Formats: sequence, structure tokens, C-alpha cells
Amino acid sequence: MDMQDTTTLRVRDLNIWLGDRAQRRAIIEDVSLDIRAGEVLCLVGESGSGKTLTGLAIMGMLEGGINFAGEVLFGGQNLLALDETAMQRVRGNRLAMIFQDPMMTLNPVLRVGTQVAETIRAHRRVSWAEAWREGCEALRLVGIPSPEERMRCYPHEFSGGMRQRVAIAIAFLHRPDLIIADEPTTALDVTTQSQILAQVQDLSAKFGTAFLWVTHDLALAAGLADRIAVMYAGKIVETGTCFEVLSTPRHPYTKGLLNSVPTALEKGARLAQIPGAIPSPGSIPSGCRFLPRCNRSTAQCATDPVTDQTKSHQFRCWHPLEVSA
Amino acid sequence: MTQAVILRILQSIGVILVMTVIVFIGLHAIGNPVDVLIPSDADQIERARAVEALGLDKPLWQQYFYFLQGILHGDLGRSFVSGEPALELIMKRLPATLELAISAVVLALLIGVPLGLMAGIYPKSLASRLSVGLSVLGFSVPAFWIAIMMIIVFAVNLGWLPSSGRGDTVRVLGVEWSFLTLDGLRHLLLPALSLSIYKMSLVFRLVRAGAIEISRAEYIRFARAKGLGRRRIVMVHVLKNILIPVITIVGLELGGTIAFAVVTETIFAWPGTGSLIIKSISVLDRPVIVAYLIVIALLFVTINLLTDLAYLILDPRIREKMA
Repeated sequence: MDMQDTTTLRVRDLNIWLGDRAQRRAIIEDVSLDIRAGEVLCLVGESGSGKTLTGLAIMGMLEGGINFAGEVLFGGQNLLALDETAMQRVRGNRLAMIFQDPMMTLNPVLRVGTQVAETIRAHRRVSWAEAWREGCEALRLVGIPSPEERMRCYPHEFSGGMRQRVAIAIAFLHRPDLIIADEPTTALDVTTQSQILAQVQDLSAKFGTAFLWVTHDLALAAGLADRIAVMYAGKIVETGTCFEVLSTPRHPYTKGLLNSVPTALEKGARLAQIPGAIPSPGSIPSGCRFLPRCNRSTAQCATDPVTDQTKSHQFRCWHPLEVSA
Repeated sequence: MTQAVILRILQSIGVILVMTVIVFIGLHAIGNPVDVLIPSDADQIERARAVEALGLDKPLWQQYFYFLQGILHGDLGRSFVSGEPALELIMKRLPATLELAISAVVLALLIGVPLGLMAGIYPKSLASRLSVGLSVLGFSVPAFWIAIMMIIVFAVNLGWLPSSGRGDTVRVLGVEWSFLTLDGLRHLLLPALSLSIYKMSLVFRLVRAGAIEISRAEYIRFARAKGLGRRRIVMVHVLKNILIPVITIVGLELGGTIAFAVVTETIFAWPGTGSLIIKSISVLDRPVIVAYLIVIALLFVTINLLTDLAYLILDPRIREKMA
């Protein structure tokens, strides 16, 4: 029971699919996640594996025509059951999100200050002047120099890194319990990326903010995550602590991902690849969905592997890799 | 910025000069206004006197030279027909035309923008699909036909609204206006509406396309993630981005409507510059025609300048480039 009390986000059997009953094309299948208070969970996977959609589903921001089912328990309520007005009160308040491309996330025709202050006013009854002043402080907090001036600027006067800082400042405005970060540093260069990561880590430590950090960058996950969930074709195939997943991967897909990361040690050696490509929704094989690309498969793999939900380190595979001592 | 404005003004002076030359030569080629003006039983002496009085006995280049001299003194010549100063004739008529054109554009915006926003945001609703269908009609049916149909329905059959003239007017700032009286408004409604149908469709389409495109933008997604209400997202985040193309079209259309409200003015017997220019062309009243074209050209230039200034207010990126 103790564990349950500190759980910030609990996703249970999240399913997302396109089309009606006759032609159902699953995008996300039976995804379950737990994020404890202040914890960083990295959701890792290739493009198209459904990471971003999982984040949007938690935010209640799936577009019309996309069906979903399951439970997203957050702050004592099931977010998926809330109506739009109730959800608006949660978004940007207890639950925030930052997006991938900082060049696109700010409205080009509105002042940065307006875009910060309106978020404050969306959740609290304060005057514009008061919201503006708080906005200045928020920008200062993420390391934007002379925020009073910068508040009056437009997004095009900011660099990519500065814009992402603004987005982060907006996400942290109401000291949320959880921030969903959809590859927020992918579009930035390496030095900016590390500055922003350090900033985010500082802030989340300060305010006890938990993160669902979506990324395809395993090196980043290694440095950031408390726990890692590996997603493949709409299913979570392996979860565990950062150390468990990265040092003793059990699922062949996780192993393949790790082998695809270039290292300095084996210079000139050909990078390992996972053969084939991720299946698109509608063409997902029954049974283990990694089967067509796996070199360990047997007849048993034609049925969907089950996971041991009681363990910390879970993997969805009939023939897991051995833990090498 | 100032440089751009000065350049624009110089350009328009050039355009106006070329235009006046073309009009002089063109009207000279069409015929001699004296033949239209003097009674058919007038004798040679009367005719010669009339020709001399109008200055038509001089060679064309000299007439043009006198005309240019006049302009420098702010004199655009006198009407061949009434002898009144041409500019005065036009200025007396211009408010009626401006009133009609502006009403048409305002009507187009008042109806086109909200409908377009709705159709862009709820594309599947019945009202949206209906508006899309109607806008195709608005595009393709000619304005004069709509005007005639409106007269038949609202003026003749139902008898709700008058079909000709300006009705009662009120004098404000030395100019007569119809839209300030109830009777004037009743007279204004049909011509303004028939003139605005096309513009309304245009604005509707533009706003709808913009709303659809911008709703998909990443910054709208971020705005939702911030917990903003739908009203703030649509009325501020979406609308402000759509206004730039809409302002462009409105600027172009306003100029066009002022210049080419001729047909509508004729149908509704609206005493604006349109009906004046039609009459002047039929009697080859060159000073009035030239003065009219100059005034219209100046209006066009002014409206285009205002449009550009509106960009500066709306789009910070352009503001920076101009600075």
C-alpha cells in the first residue's frame, strides 16, 4: 500500500486504435505504467512505436477519430473519464507537457510574456500585471537572462534552446506533479541539450516533479532515467530500473537497441543493426510482435508472451537473454 | 519604412501619369464630345464656339499639357457637360460609394470570419458543410444576378426593403451619410449585401482554410497542453494568425469594390461615383473621367499602404524586417 500512495501516475491497460470494430487497427496495446513521485521514467523506442501517442493520451489530447480505452489514474481521478472542461483544469496545472520542436511550440504572433502569463491566468484568478510579474520569475528560474525584456519579445527573437527554456518554464509554472516530455532535446545541439537537461534535473529535484520522458536516445535515458520502459510497436516489451534494463537487457529488442548505439571502443567496426523495420498499425503480427525481426524465435513465439507483473524487471519474451554474470 | 512609403508614392505618381496619357488618347480615339454635347440642329458657328470653349480646338498634346498644368494648381478641369469642377462632382458622389463599399466589406467580415472559424474548427458539422456549399454559390453566381434576384424577392414580392436610392441622409462632417438613419440603412442593405456576397465567400474560404491549417500547428497543441480554454485558443492563438491573409484580401477587395461598384450602383440607382462615371463615359466627359480615375488610383494606393501597415501591427516577424 505504501507504494500506491507515492504513485503519481498509474496507467492501466491503455489501448489506442483506429477504425471501428470491423477494421480495428491497434496503435497502442495494453500499456501499463507506474510513475512514482519525483521519478523519471524514460519511455524508449523507435519512431512509430507509439511513444508520443501514449503521452498525448495521458494528456487527453488525442485527436478526434482516434479511439482509446483503459485507465489513466492521476491525482485520484481517471483522466480518460474526465470531460474536456475538467481536463483543462488538469492540463498545464498538475500535469504539463513539453514538445519536441521548440521552434514550433510557441505561437509566432504572440509575445513570449503573453504566452507565459496566459497559462497562469488559465489556472488562477490573477491580474495580467500579476501574471506577467510571475512569468518573469518563471523565466528567471530556467536561466533566461534579463527576463523583463525577454517577456516583451516574440518567439522568433529567441534561439531554439531559449525557446525550449520558455516551454519548460511554462510547464513548471504550477509546480506540476508530472511533466510529459516528448523528446524535448532532440532538436537541440549537444551543448544546449546538456544545459537544458541539467536545468530540468535541478528543477525537478527542487519541486519533486516526476517525468515521463519520451526519447529514442538511450544514452540520454542512461543519464536521466530512474526507470526505463522500452516500447515496441505499441507494446511495452521491457521495464525495469535504469540499471536493470541497460546492463542486463532481457528482451532481444532492447539488446538490439543497445547494440545500435555507436561506441568509441570499437572504432571502425560495423554498427549492429536490427534487421527489418517496425510493423505499421494493421500489419502487426499476432503473437510476439518482434518475431519477424528476432533471431531467437521458436514456435512458442506465435503466442503472445506474458510478463511477470510482480517483478521490478519485466520483459515480454519467451526466450529472454540470460543474465550474464 | 519611410523609404518604402516614399517609393510607393513615387510609383503611384508614375502610374497615374501613364494612366492619364492612355485615357487622353483613348477618349480622343473614341470620338468628339462636342458631337454628343451640342444639339443636333446647331450650326457650324455654334459648334466652333463650343469646341473653342472646351479647348478642343488645340492639338491633343497641348490639351494634355494644359491638363498637367492644371493638376499642379490642384485643378482637374471642369466637366464638359455641367461646367462644374470635375473633382467637386466626384467628391460629392464619393461618400455614397465609400459607404456602400465599406458596408459590403464589413458585412463580409462580420459574417465570413465567424462562419469560417466555425467551419474550420468543426469541419464535420452540418452548418459547416452547408456554408461550404453556399460559398461555392457565392463565388460562382455573378453579383448583378444576385442583385436582381434580391430586388425581386425583397423589394417586389415581399416589399420589405426599398430597391433604389439612398433614402434619408444625415449630414456629418459636411458629408451626407445614409447609414446613420433607419431609412438610409434600409436602402443600404440590399446593395451592400449583393456587393458583399462574393467577398463573404472569399473571406469564409480563407478563414476556414487558415483555421484548419493552424489548428494542426504544434503551437496550438502546446496551447492546449497549457490548459487554455477553447475560446482563448480560437479567438487569440488561431485568429491572430489567420488575420494576416484576411487583411490582404480585404485591402485588395475594398479598393476593387470602390472602383467597380458600378454595376451594383446602376442596378440599385445608388447615387455614387459608379453611376456618375457611366454617365460621363457615355457623353465622353473627359475631365470627369480622368479626375475619377485619378481619385480611384489614389484610393488604391492609400488602401494598399494601410494594408502594409496592418501587417506590421499583426506580424512581429515582418515588423523586424522593416525596422
